[in-house]
Amino acid sequence: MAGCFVQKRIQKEILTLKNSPPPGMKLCDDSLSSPGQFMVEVKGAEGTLFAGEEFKLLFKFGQSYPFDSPQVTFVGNQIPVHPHVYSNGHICLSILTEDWSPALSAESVCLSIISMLSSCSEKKRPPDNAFYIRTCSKNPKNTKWWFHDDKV
Amino acid sequence: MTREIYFERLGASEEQWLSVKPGEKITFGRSVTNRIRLYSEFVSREHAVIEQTNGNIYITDLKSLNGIHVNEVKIKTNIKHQLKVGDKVEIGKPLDCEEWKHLKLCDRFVYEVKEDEVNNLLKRPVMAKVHKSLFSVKQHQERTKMVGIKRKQENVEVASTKPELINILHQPKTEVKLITNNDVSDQDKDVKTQEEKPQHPNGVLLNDNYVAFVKNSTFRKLTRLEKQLEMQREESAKEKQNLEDEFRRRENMLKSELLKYEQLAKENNDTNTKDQLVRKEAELSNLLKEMKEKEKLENEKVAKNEELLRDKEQQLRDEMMKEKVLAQQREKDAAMAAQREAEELAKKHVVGKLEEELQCIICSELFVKSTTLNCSHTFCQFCIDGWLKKKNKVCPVCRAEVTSRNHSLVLDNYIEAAIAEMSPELQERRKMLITERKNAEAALKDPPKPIRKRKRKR
Ligand SMILES: [Zn+2]
Ligand SMILES: [Zn+2]
Repeated sequence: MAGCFVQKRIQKEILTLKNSPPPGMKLCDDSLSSPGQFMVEVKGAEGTLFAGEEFKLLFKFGQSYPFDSPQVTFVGNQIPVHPHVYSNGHICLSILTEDWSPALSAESVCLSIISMLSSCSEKKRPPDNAFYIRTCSKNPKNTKWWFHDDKV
Repeated sequence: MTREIYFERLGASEEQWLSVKPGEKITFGRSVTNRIRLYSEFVSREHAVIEQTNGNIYITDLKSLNGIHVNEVKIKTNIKHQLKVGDKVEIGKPLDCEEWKHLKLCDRFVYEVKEDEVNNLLKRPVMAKVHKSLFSVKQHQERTKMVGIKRKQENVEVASTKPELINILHQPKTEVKLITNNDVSDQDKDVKTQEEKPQHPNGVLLNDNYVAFVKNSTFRKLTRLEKQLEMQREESAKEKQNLEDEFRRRENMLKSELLKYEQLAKENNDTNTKDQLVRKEAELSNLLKEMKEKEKLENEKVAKNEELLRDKEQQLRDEMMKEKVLAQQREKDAAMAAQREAEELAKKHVVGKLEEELQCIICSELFVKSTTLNCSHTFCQFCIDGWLKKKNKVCPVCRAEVTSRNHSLVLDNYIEAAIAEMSPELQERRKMLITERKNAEAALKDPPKPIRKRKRKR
């Protein structure tokens, strides 16, 4: 079973996040109850536009993980206002789709997202936000992303 | 006036005498059974016998080791040698012994054949039963310790150690070390320093030191015991000597009285004197009987004591052996425990390293069928194949385009060998994992163009 196959891998990722999380990241213990998914609390880095803000990222691991990327979205009341983050929590990040590699992990995804937030110079929604949230599927992985300019 | 031929020991403090009656055999030797016991290791157990036949005195060498010298000439063994008045007889003079020449007469066993009137003789004490040599006694003490060591080394009985003894005396610097009192105290020091030495974490004294410690403590007990044995021997010899001296004095007194009465009886021929003579004779024979009895008792006592001490000695030796075996066993156990510990540690270390270095980044398991790409990054065959079925044919780590993938047999063998050293649970888990992969591979046995299919599905 593919689920069986990824067991150790996901377990190890959870352990790493639990025991030695990178700064600004915290695994939500109460999110571990449902299998195949967990939540991570992310803090905006000091000295950036998101300093002092806290967001929740939901990781969902499919049957083909880690060959396929996990499904990662911001959840809860706090969705960062960012040109690559839609108001429904979907994130436009290449490593979550085209550039995914099984060598990446939940931790490296979190780090990428923090770095994405940190490099933001202006708090605003993507220009197509209104259209996107009306038309997109629930799973951001089904979106054919037209990647925004990386230098936002 | 009757004259009598007698023997006198030269160098003795008193002019003691010993005469030989017709038919009487007077034996000389080291063992207790001799009439005259010569207390020296240069004297054989049964060394010489003196007897009188037809008024002639003869001495015979009973095949002794160091022989008998008459007027400085060694006599033949096992043949009666006639002695005449004025002869000087030496018993137990070792051959080629330089030291011997410088010894005082009292430390040698030299007897002169003399003749004197019986009346004169009776005024003097009879020859003592035990003759000592200061030289011999000193050497003898060392010998006892020596023999102790020898016996320990070779497990031989002391019974006839004559040849060794001569060697020891003549070449004091042979490989066998004489143990003097100084040596013993040195050993005490050794023991102390060893006790101060660090102990093994398991509480066992380190190797040789421990054995040496045990050996030394028991060895000291042994030395003490041997000293005790020696002292006891000396003591009983002294006691016997005293006992005998007293008897001799009484015997002499009776004899002289007897002689007096004999003469009186001859002169007067009166019955009263004769009665007294008979009484005195009876008294004398009683005395002799009593003496023999006492001597027998004393001998028995000594023999019993010696046996007791020997038993104790044997016991100590057995104990020493047991202690040694025990110490060796303990040493072995400690060494084995240490080795096991080291192995365990090494195993843990290897396993830890293995987990770090030989883990597939895709599945977080130790590689199953390790497969190395052209970029040198390695994955499980199942994992990398699963990834390469996707549209991106790039290395998950470095994103280099995949042009080749090779199976790494060395890695596989190494991992299998390492897993064989792990706990049974881990081995079981590994087995399950491999079967799982096999099944999964079989299920996906259509690798050529899966990418397009999946695309269409999307
Ligand atoms: Zn793998
Ligand atoms: Zn690579």
